[in-house]
Amino acid sequence: MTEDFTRAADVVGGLIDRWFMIAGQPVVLQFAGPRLLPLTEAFEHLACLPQPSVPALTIHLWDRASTGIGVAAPPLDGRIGEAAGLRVLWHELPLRVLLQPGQGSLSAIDEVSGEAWYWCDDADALPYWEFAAPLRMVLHWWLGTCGALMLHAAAIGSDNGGVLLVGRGGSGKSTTSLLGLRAGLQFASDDYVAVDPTLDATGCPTVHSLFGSGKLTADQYANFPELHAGVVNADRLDIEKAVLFVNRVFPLQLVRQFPLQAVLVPRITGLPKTIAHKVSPIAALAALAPSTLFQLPGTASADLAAMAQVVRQVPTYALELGTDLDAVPIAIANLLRSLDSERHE
Amino acid sequence: MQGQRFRINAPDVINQVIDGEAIVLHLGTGRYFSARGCGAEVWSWLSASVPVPAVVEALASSYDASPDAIAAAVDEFVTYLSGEGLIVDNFDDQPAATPSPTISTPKPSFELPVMEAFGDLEDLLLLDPVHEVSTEKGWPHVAPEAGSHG
Repeated sequence: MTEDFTRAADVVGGLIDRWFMIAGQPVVLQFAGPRLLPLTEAFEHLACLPQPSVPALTIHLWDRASTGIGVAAPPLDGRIGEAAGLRVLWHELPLRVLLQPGQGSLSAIDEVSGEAWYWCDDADALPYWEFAAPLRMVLHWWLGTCGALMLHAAAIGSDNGGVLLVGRGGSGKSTTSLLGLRAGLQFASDDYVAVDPTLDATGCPTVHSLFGSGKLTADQYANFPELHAGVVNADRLDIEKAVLFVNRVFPLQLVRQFPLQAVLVPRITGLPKTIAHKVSPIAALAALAPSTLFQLPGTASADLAAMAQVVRQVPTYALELGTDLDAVPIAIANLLRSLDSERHE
Repeated sequence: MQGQRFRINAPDVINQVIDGEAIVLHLGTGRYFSARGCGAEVWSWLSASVPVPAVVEALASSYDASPDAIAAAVDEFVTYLSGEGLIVDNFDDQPAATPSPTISTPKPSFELPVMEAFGDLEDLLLLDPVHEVSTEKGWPHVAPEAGSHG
């Protein structure tokens, strides 16, 4: 793959490097030509100057359409096939590979060298969600090597820390995160986030933002007009969810990280008031783990153990979402204040 | 079944037990499970290869129920777990593990071990943008019934 990438860079006349601080570590996205640069907008809030140190991860990106260079896929030999051929995972450690034949892309990482590759056949054929949350599997694999993990969760907070909102699609976590954004809370994620279970100086795990984006359903798009200026595909909402880049509308609320104060499991109740009440760690794990593990496969056993570590370390709540939507972020802010007070007593 | 020992059907099956509650995921079938009653307790022992008779004996020392009733409940539980592919026979010759039952007076009533199944992960694969595709046509054809997300 390195040879293919080098040939692609030669064809287009050189490399374009972009540096980011992802989960607190320097990461370089190295492009052969400009065609895949739009993938970086989701990481703009994590951008940094070139670092003097060796990057913890270097991802090489190129496409066939603009460079004419394909990729030599590894021999699959009928190894793990998932979801009726929609994606194929192949692990021969330290190498991990994901083929997505339908969208014509390949992701790979060498977990020892800290090098990764992302190739696609044609950037124009990539689905819209690839730009909202790019390089998911590469980052998922890499985070695992750093002692962190990627979670299927939204994350919002305040200066004192924040919460994870966990649950399957339709549970209300995305809407809750958008309500928090609109109300002035800090925003780290509406869908995928990194968590380092290691306790920081305040005794909390750390939430790291990965993608400064959101995906809005038609109802959410209609209900959040203040976000429209950040939506990049407003002309295609009949066939796509709205892709929101938060840095375009609320850049100051987009945070890189915060201490994790609690894990919340949203539930839509139909009642007017929003109430948080404690639930067991296993209830939070049951809301968090299945969707995370089935969307981000490959390291399930270690990831489940790490998730269990997270829900043991912080309080876990059910968030009974009321119909008074403006009261939802207030309830979360009140809970955060209360938790912060308890921790300082 | 009474003399059998079992083990978790790894690597397809993974689990966590926290504060006496258990979650079990079958990565092959896409089903996940939550234990109720004394299910987490029994799951912990079975997955540690405690022989079935020792599980029954430990439960009988902990709960207010006849050993026969407990044995029948454990047999039914084991049959269910095996049927779901969560446990398999353990034929290794390592020494059998012994359970550590909680003894209290008076004994609490016996709640049947139950493993509640959730089969919505196949739906999840269609709901999430990563998988928001037709299962017949593959990428980039959107699944016709893909619903709202979050």
